[in-house]
Amino acid sequence: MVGRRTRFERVDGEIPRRIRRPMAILAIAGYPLALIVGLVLAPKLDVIPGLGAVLGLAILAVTMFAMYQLYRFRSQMAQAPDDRLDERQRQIRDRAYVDSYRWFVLITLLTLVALSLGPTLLDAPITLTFEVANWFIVGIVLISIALPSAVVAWREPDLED
Amino acid sequence: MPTPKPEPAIHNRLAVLRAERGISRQDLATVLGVNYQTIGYLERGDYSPSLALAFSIARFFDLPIEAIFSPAPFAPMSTTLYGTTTQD
Repeated sequence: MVGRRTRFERVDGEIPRRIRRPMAILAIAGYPLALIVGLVLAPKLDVIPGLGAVLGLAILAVTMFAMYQLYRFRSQMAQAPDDRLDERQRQIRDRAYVDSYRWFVLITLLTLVALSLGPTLLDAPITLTFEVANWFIVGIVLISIALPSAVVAWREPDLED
Repeated sequence: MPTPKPEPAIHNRLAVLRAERGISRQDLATVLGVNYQTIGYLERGDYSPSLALAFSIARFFDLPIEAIFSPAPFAPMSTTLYGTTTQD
């Protein structure tokens, strides 16, 4: 990394933390929210046909945008190999992975609880087809990928020059 | 599980030394082999360096390590040089 500035490093810090933090929340919570709106609440929202699905897709699009921005502007650090990072960055990345694991366990447990209780409480049963199960698996994979970036984006302080 | 103790803050004179020598953060970062932002975080006290990095910094400024880093806050230059804290 000596004497070499990557594209990431040149733009790093352009997103202040007050914007990064809501983006980090969106990157993690957006997909489950899209699923709840698109799958669970869709029948209740369908006063206009397809409204639930459209809202779910809109939330999903914004979530993907947030994930991409976090990756592009701030958090390639979370995926970078050791030789691209200095000791401070490696420390932040390693701590982010530890915390990501904790958050991943919590989110997975909450998802299971929500899947068990949500349909009953909301009186909106889900028919568990392969397609529906696929949505949840994709969600778990997306969140596991986005979590380290979101943790780094949440934690890194702004550097005022 | 025992709660880990918070790491003690390490104070430094990096910003003063860098300004005194007219070296940019980027130049110092290049010499030390770290990201230029890491220099900023060091100067602000948001990051405590490893022993290896602290020795590299001391070697670069040709000063003993305790002249640059301290577990206690450094006294202001005016106090160190003239024994005064304020001007009346």
